[in-house]
Amino acid sequence: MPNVIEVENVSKRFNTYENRDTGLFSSFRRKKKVVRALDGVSFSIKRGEIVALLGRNGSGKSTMIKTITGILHPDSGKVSVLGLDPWRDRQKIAMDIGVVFGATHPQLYWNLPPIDTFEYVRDVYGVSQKDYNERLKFFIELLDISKVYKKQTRQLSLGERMKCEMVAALLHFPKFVVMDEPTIGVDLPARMGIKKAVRELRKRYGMTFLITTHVVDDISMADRIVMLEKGKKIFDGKPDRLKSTFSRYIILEVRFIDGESGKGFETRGRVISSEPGHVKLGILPSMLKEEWLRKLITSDKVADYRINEPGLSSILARFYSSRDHRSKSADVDADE
Amino acid sequence: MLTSRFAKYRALFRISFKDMLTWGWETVLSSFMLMLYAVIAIVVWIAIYSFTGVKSINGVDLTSTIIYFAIISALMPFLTWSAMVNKLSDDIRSGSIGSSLIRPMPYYLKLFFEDISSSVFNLAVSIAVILLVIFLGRLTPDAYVSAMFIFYFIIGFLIAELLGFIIGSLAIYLTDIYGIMVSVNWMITIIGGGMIPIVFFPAFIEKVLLLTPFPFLAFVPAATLSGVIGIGEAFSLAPVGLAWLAALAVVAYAMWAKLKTRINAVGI
Repeated sequence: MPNVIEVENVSKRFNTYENRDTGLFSSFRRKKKVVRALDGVSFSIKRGEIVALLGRNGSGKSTMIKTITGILHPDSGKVSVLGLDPWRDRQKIAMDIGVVFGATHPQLYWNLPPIDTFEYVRDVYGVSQKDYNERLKFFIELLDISKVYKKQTRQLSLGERMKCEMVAALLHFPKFVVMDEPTIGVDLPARMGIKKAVRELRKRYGMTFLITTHVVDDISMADRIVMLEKGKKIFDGKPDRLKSTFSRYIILEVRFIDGESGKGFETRGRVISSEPGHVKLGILPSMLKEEWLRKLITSDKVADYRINEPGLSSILARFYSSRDHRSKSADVDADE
Repeated sequence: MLTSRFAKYRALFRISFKDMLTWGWETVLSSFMLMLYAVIAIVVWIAIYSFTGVKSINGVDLTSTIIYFAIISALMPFLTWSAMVNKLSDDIRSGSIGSSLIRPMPYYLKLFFEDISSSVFNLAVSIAVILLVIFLGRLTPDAYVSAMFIFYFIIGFLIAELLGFIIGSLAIYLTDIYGIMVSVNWMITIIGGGMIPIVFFPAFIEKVLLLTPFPFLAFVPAATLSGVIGIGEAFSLAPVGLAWLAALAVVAYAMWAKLKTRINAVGI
């Protein structure tokens, strides 16, 4: 399958300013900080792939998608979207890209019903009336917006708005779709509707998706995950591999009779928590010996036990907190 | 190809106009409030003529002055300020400029067509007031004067749009451009002929002021139609107006080129 997106060694820096102190004239004594929003990021996306772009706030996700959509120009490196430079050929590429910016930068006209924005999009992208009618019918059914798309946008709930934002971004049937946190603040039914629509559009029309999200549940719709941290790519692979890469431990939870505290467990793995009658242990799979486990669970001191593979959200939470401890600043300080 | 290109802008015009109509009363009120300003100027000048007892100032009598300001009242809502300033500076600061840049049309043309559509109401009011002034003031503009007035009306509108774009673009350097907006409004009012017809200034100052772009937003079109300046003088100002149009277009383009590279992910 040909690549729809090629990102090669892309870097982007921004200037930010920090007050040196809190004095009356602190605004005039600012310190310039050059932030490396992207630092040599490379990846590619094949046609028909759904890729989740993960990362914490400030990790470079938004900068990345704005670079891919031609809004930002990279300082160095190369970005190619459908074979074109998105910054130089922004208007040409815009015909084949659909962008959902989430709730922060809506595309729907706030005082008008979404149907007005849909018709505007139809004319801007030169969609024929016949195609428009068919596509609108398709989206109305797929996203269940029949009761909302003629109401004023400002009267819609966030979930309803997000679904309509999606229609406005996709009515021209783009080849490549970028969604920036499309499910943030959206309730479960609406989120499921959006996920269903993404899968259906890929299946029916071969659309390619790049989705940034903080909602771990959204990752389930992705074929691949690209993870950024402080502007650098730290992971690129299938969701399953994320687990094996960042979670080497299996969680063993044991409840004891008579307030036993699991003495000697620290030799088996990392004690996550320990209190009278309960211990939680992170064990490397190689350390989980069958014989030891059998002895443990048949012991008359053990009331109950549980072995868990950590979920994606706990893997990410643990990963982020471990990065915080050993983070090296990617910022380059310079006096203003 | 041309039809589909035009369809984009027609669609933009249509939706912006519909959007503007949702603010119907605000649009009507702001338009009339700007006209009220010119009415105040008329009252002030009636007081000045009657208090000083002069029949004319630099050859302009009270009737011509009243007609001049009646025309100014029609031009003020349309020419003096472009809504582009607020839209552009807000888009830059909030980062929502990205939502516009993903569309297959140049951003500056998007702003221009949005502004035109939101000015349609003001244009209709301006035309109605001008026709009323021509009727009540018993003006009989010939074809040359009418053509010259329309020419300066268009030049004035384009200069207002370009100034709006340039000032709005300053948001990439400044946190708040309100102070600059107020200053430019005052320049239009004082040295652009919005409060004092430029011919009332001493000849030297008049000549200097007519070399700036501000008179083209108020004085030049109003003075041409009201007869405060003759057709010959009006015609001689055309190269200055066109030169300013070209110069401002170059500056606006340079600002846009700079702005494009300074946009960041979350706004400036």
